[in-house]
Amino acid sequence: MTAAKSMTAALDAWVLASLPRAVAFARSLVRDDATADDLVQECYCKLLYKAGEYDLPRDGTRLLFTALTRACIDRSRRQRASSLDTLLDGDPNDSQFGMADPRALAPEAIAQQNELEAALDDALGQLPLTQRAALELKGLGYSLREIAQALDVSESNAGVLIYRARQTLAGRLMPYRDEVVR
Amino acid sequence: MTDPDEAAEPMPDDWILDAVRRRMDRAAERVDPRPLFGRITRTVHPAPAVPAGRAWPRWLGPTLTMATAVGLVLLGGWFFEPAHGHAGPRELLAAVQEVHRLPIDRCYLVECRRSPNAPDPFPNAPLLQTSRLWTRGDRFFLVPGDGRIGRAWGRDENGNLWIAPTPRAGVRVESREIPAALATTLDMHTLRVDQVLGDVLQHFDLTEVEAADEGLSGSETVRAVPRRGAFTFLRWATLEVDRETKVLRRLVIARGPFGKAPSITTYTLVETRALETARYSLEGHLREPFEVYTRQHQPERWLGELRKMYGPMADRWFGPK
Repeated sequence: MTAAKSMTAALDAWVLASLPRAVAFARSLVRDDATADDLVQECYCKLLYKAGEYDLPRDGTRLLFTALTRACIDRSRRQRASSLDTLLDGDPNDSQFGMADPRALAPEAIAQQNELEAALDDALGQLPLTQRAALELKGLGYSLREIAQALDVSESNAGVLIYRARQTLAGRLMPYRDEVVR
Repeated sequence: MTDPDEAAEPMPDDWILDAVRRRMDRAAERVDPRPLFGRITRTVHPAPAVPAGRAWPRWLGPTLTMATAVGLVLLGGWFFEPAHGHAGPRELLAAVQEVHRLPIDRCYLVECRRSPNAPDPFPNAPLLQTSRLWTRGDRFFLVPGDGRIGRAWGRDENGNLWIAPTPRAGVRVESREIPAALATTLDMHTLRVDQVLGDVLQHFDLTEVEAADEGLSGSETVRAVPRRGAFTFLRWATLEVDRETKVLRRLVIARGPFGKAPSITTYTLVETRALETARYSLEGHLREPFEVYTRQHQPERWLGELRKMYGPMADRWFGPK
């Protein structure tokens, strides 16, 4: 196998491995599957065009989520600036966050889980976008410094965003706490 | 990814992060990465280009106006007769052309990777642009595919160009006011399947290719390469056709003058459904109360919006005569 083919295979493997989480993240932020997919594609393409400048299999996911976060926020800002109420059309894809394998749970557990999922979706959906992005990046394991870079804010501001998001969610999801920690 | 110091710090509401993490895990499990992976790889690594270097009288390019192109389509029937050695793909594309003349609404995801060296009348456009294109016969409209709002534009049934920068204001350019160079560019940036196929049938050698791994099932793929001496904007094209319905599922086009890096545009069929006719008009993208700028009504704002779209060329094309 030539070096070029080897590199292509490595990049393909990186894309395939990171794609599901990137799509889930973008869909959660922009709440429109088609738009999210387009943004994800654009961010991957921009990175892949510069594959020679970066070690994408090593650093690509961090770069990708930084670019994706900014793209989602930019998109949201443009949408607000346009005075369109497209964002208020509701959340057409709430059901997408159902259980991966419902058969694994008993019916009452499924009902409880679905209730939690719906409450979590609702609570996340009502957070300001930057708070939602910060919290989800935190949930994905990113450091405060990386979150600050992605959101283009200071580390202390990123910490405040995460703190406020968690406070809001804690208040809304307290009735489900036992299910989460179980 | 997590700083060691930070990881050691106790988190009072870890259960919130746990819930968010689990939700993300479940959402990721539900994502089938293959379709988007295919889109990404096809954009980054488009179908291999064919050898360039064919003689191409450049002066003919800009003169190929929309009207001329339509004429070529009408004359295209001469070329429907199967050519020696390429009967299969030629007949297939003729059938596709017929199918796409029907007034059916189809939506294509358009991924345009513009050559940085090629002149472009859309100076503000990024090198990689994703749009959604709706077509019905010779009408079309484009909306940005990355969530940008208010930049819908298209051509209505009367051939008028329209732009809707915001839902409250629109720009209309009557067909007679569209300069030939822009008309040609509009054709290059949009997809009139019948016209493209007319061009391909007339000026291209066609070969049927084996279905690639990433190809859609139940489809046939045709590779088109310009004949020697043919004048066309197309450098090469790959067409993927549904075997049953003869609908064009995917089209990859390399466009631009020879000797320069081409712009690669991929059109992927994503939706077919009945769309309101009004969507192909300017008013279909505006909301009351709105104002439509024309050369006669609010000419300064009209020109201002055209400048945003076409840059300095707008003054040459639409400035005071």
